[in-house]
Amino acid sequence: MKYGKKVCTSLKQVRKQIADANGIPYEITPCPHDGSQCPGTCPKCEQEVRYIERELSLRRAAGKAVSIVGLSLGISAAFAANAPLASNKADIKDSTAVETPTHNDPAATEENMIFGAMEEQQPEFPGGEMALMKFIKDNLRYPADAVRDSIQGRVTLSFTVDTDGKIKGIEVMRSPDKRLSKEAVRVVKLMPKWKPGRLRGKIVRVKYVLPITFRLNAAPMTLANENPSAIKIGDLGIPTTEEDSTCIAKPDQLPEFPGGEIAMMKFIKDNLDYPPSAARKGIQGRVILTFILEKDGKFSTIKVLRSPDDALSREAIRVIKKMPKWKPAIHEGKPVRVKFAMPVTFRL
Amino acid sequence: MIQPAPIIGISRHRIPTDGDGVTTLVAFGRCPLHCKWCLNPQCHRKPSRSVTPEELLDIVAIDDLYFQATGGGICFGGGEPALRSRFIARFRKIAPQPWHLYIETSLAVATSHMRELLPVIDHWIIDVKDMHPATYLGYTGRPIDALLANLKILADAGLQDRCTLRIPLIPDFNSPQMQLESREALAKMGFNDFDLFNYKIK
Repeated sequence: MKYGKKVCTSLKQVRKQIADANGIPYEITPCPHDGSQCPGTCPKCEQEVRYIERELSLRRAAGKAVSIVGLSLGISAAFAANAPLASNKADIKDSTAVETPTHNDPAATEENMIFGAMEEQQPEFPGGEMALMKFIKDNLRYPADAVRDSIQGRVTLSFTVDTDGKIKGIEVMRSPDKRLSKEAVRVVKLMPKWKPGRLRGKIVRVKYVLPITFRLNAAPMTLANENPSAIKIGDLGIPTTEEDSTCIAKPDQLPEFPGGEIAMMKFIKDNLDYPPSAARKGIQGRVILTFILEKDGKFSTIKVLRSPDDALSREAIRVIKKMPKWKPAIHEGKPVRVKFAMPVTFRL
Repeated sequence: MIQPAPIIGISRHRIPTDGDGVTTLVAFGRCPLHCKWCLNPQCHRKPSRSVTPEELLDIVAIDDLYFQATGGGICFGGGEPALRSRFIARFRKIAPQPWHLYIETSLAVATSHMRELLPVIDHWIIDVKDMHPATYLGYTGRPIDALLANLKILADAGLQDRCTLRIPLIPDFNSPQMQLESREALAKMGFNDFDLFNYKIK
């Protein structure tokens, strides 16, 4: 029996054991692949896993006990019964000479290679990973209503990079919120063709998993809204005062930390010291600061709009004050004052 | 916050060479050694992808059901995964408790990494290469001191039962007799789980 077929057979048995232990209807159906191209899983097998996971979630939600851990501990023995293994614990003997002393990998294809590894060349966004991050950053629009509801988190997408470099079959594997998923999928659909993956020199379709993070820890952020002109700084719930009247609500060009948003996030990360008093009490959360960025790129009038703890507020302000001069906002060709809010997140 | 780590590959559904149960191999980039017959020499090239522990968890969690049912989990390899000790320690914190963590390592790293790794690794698969210092230096390009120091840390901590020592027959570098001598030296340190095998050079 070919290696891929053996893996597939073993995994089917595991699925069957889990299903039976939890009263989930599941019958093993014969697999059409002969194992020469199958690394042990295929879209049908993946769907069966998703089905069993959904059924287990429903049972948990209904308050039923669910049994998974340790159900299939005998998989090693079962697999060995079908395939001789290279490792031998007791005897000193010439074990089966293997080309890959630590990795008994067959010619794996797309389904079980999440990417790369061992004579693989993973697909690549044009320009590489930095270009991919920049593309996401330049195109991602934080849904305004998600900002207002303080929704943030990581959307994990999977898609296939086809042999022509086109992205197909985008799926949401995991997401904290549908609004974020929709935006993440929209951005991936905008992507240009990728450089396709290769297996031993041959171009192949490869499944790729991409997490896209929505974090409220950076500003100014571009908000997605059907009526962009309606978005003003005041819409973020920041009380306006008389001094704000000299600030431009919607400048032509937003101010920028030197080096951009990624550099700013790194600056905050490198300089933020978690106050020990808050850490000891287990206090975490988001400090929302408001401030004015002057025409010369310096901060003034830093205020705390919301904060879970004074020590966190003091630390957030300390780090903001330490920042170098920003590139100021530009409106009608001239630097202008702007007021905006910035969340600084403290997470234990 | 843990820096993203470069990875050269993620390979699913491995049974059971890397440990018991179904495992996913996560191969990190970079290695301090430069072995002549390195299996993954691409680990010395600039990788095209880096992930944080949280992002990695999102990626590999697709096989959570198998990990939990079969007593499997994640096997960290590479490259040299022991260089990513803080990453792995963080990963242990955020991954589901039933997952096991394995490491496939040369142990050719600073001893400070062991402090992070000892509490979180369930089984060590140690690529010893060869215990004769001159042979080790000739094959890997590095002195054997780091390996010996880290083996001692594992032995002093009484973790021999959690270690598999892999001792290859390396063409042009050692012999079956030298393999036995390496095994003998390790047995004196209390290790008892050995895998002697041959490199097959293409």
